[in-house]
Amino acid sequence: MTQPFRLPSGGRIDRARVLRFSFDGRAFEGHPGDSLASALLANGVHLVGRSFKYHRPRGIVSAGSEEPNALVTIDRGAGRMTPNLRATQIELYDGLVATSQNRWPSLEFDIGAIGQFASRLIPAGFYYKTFLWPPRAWKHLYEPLIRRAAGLGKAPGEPDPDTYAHQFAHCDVLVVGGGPAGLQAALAAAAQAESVILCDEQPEPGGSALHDPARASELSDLLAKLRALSHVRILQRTTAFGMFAQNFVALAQRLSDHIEPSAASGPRERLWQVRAKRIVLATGAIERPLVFPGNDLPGVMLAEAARIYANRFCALPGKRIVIATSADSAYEAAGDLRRAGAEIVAIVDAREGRPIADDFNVIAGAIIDTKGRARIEGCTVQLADGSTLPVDCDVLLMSGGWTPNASLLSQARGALRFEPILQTFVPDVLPPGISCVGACAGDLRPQGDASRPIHPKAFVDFQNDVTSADIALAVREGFRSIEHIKRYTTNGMATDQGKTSNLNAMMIAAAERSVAPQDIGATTFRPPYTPVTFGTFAGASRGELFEPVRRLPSHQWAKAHGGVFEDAGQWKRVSCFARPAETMRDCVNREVLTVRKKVGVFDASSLGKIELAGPDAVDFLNRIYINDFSALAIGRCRYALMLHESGVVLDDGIVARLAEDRFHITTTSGGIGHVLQHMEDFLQTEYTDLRVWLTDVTEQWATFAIQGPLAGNIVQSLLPDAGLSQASLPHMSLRELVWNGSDLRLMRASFTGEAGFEINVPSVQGAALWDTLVDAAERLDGCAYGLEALNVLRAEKGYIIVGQETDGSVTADDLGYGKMVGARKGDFVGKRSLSLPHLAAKGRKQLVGLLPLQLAQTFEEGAQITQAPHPASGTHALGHVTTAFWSATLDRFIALALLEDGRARIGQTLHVPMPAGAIAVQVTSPVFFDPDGSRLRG
Amino acid sequence: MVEISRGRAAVQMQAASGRFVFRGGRDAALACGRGFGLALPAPPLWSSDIGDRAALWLGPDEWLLIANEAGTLRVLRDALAGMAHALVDVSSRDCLFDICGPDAALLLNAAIPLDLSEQGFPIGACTRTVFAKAGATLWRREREIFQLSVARSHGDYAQRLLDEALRSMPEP
Repeated sequence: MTQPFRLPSGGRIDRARVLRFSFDGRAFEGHPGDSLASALLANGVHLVGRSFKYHRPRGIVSAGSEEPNALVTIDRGAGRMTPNLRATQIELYDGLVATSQNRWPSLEFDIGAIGQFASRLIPAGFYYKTFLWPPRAWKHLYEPLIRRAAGLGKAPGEPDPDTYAHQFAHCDVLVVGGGPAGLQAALAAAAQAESVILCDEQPEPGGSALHDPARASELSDLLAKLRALSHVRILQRTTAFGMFAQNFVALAQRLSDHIEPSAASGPRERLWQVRAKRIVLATGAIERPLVFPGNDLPGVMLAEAARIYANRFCALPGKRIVIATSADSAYEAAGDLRRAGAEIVAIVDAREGRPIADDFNVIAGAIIDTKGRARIEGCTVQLADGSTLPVDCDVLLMSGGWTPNASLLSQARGALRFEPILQTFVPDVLPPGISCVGACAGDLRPQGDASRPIHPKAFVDFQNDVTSADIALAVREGFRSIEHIKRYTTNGMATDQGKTSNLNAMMIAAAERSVAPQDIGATTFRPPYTPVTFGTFAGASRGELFEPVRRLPSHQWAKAHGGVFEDAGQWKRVSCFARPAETMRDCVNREVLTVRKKVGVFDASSLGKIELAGPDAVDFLNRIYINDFSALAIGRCRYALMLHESGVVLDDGIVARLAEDRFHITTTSGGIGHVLQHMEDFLQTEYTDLRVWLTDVTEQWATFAIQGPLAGNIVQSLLPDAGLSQASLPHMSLRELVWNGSDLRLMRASFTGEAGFEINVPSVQGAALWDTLVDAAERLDGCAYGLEALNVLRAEKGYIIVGQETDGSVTADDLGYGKMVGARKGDFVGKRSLSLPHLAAKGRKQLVGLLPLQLAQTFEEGAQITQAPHPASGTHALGHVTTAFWSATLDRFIALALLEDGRARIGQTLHVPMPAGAIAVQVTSPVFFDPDGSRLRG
Repeated sequence: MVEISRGRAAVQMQAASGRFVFRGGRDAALACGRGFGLALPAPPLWSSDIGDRAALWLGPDEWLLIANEAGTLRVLRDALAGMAHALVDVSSRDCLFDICGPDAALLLNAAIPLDLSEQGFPIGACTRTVFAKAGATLWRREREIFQLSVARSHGDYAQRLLDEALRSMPEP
């Protein structure tokens, strides 16, 4: 017989359709409207998992997102396996495949369960105490072993095939929780507000009204009114999991996990990031378990959960039920369960002044023991006079009263206070713009506290296996703050964040410390309210969209011509253009030699570009750069260095004067953002007297370098009418021309040491000009060259790259550029710091060249430099290698380095220790090639 | 013009158009507006437009001018002669997308955190913002037409993201 515990009528399931599903390989049936938990209960299955620490058999405790025990793995196909899902929240679909966790070889017989017999040896803080020594063993031995034993499901190995979406939204009112209070609040808000969002974690709105037949018509009436309003957005299966500053709330919407995999389409989940003017928390209350020995046996459940299973899902948890309670609501559960056909064997009420109901067998007392191994079979009741009474049952329900579900309020830094009439914490001080309604606000009936006396093996936190004895031990060992007790015992630190356990833990800790509950206080909840998938956070940011990919104008050409790409920030840049069967090293050598002997073209479009204009432009440049621009003529360029206020080099580039009051400035490729910000900061805060404005034109211009002895020929053929000559356009000068109907800025400049040009055209023309230039170069036996060749070429000349030769500690003088500092000009950014003693002291690290004494020896960038080949341990390094390359031009290995008193050490022999042994190097000038610069002038 | 659409939103990639950054003080802004034939808007994050000509306020001393007529730059330079200002042609700098339809705002909110309701971002509003991980400028030209611009090299990223957002839009 299938579904032996299914009730014949009523509820919110669709009996007309049968859904097949499997749990641990066994086939079962359920109906649409079922959760996995309700379908299992309808089939008489209570045992659904093993506990984290002791591997104790565990069952279904609750009917909602607070569930601590019933964690299962759902397998929806390759890459779609999700562990640690709450069976109480999983909607049943046809073909659902669920497996239990944390057991081996099977749920019924679990080897790990022997751990529970050793539980007296694994008290609170056991891990902290036992696995401290030896220190290295924690990472490599203890932690992996403990993790494997602890289970908690397995992550899938395959990539996630699903997509995830993000959505920002703004609203006047966000209502969290779709129970009666939330629906009422949304309706009330909608009368005033322009836009209302109501989010609810369940598949359908209604909350507690869904299992209260008396409220069915009230519910449908409310829903009809709300659904008629176009400015109310209702989000089902949507959990508000994070509350952030200024009413910013993160919602996770589950879009397709409730549909069978073959029928699901579109994104799996959507992250809503909502900014709300007002937030109404209608998150209800959570029933509190009772703390007695064996309270974790399968078949021990929360009383209201049993009522939900019976009324809403028509699944009767058991037939002979005992209810232990300290709250009135359990009597309603008792009535409904009896009407559904269960026998209520007894109601054990811990409160004084009870019993009150003559139609039930009400016993004044408390549960002190249970019977059964993988399912409850009975319990022992201690009566008020101290005598005991054994009672048989197949389900034991517990109700320790209700606690407002204040997780989100706690995240939003709202304060709670202890309410003696309710024996729980209720919202007290609400953050601005946030209100609470319904049970979440503490709108509850009086109830008692039944968390004591302290029993051994009475579980408080089911998910982390924390017992009341553990909390008592923590207090005995001197922990006082509830936050420390929490961390020491791990109570409330599992994936359920202690939704069902925190209050009991606080009450026990308060009793053990003999302080009032309000003095021990409540622990802080943190996001997420329930676990959220990584996919939800990632959204579309994966694969190609993980980070923007910025492509150069020459990208398509490079792709078709052997371009080997590398990432430089977001830019895809070309390392080299490899020809068939060419190694990367051969390719770089060929490109270097081609530039030195013929001509090469290079896409430098990622260079930052700024157009500076205004009558005070020269004044501004003089204050921002170390150079003096007063004498820079129109049409001339200057290599310029910019300092941070601390005196260290911030960026470099070329400043070209277009007109009396207009300049074209370049920055490093990665520097444009912070250079522009640095300049704007000074203009807006320090130099407000200057009439000068900046415009970022990085992407307006495509920039190509043409370098080599034949560079002039290419430019001549490209711009035959410009009348260019060494005299009319000398090194470091600029001309504005027209090419192909577009503006063109031609600069004679070089970053290779060869005669060369940089051509700027509007970027829409970039690809066309690139093709033209490469074509012209190839006709002269030239080629396109990449970033690697450029690096070799500039290193041969000792030209620095900011960020490679500089690291936030390097001054202009350290680089040998001390003479660039304009001596006659006034103040500039960083000038004051240059007189700091430590920037002028002996022992500064200065830029030098290094040549290995044996030509074939190589070492790596970042390698240390030492005096002795094998220095004693603790000897400080004299410096480090910043750039190291094979120079095809010189046919030897060369390096640049920052070296203590480097310029004074030129000629010395030092050592670069490498894993295979130290390499002897000679310190040289950083300029290895054409030191007098004669090639620059063509 | 490339168009992709789904349901009640569409994305049209636009060809490069004449775009100029003007920066300067109040007098220069007045002169610039006279030369442009369209006063530069004074309220922050606001635009003015006539025909296919528009001026977008992007900063206390910065406007983006949009005009396709050849010679616009020369006319503006003449109008501004002798005044302290910056006028820079950025016609090639950006990639432009028109986002159209009743759900245009919903689509944009997949990657833009701003309130794009008609109250929060009325017709005529403009701003610099982010489009997921790319910097962007957004301008509401009409009730159901937004112009989104990103730096040219971010165009491919923006287009793919818009495509993905179109496929995964929530119910309106």
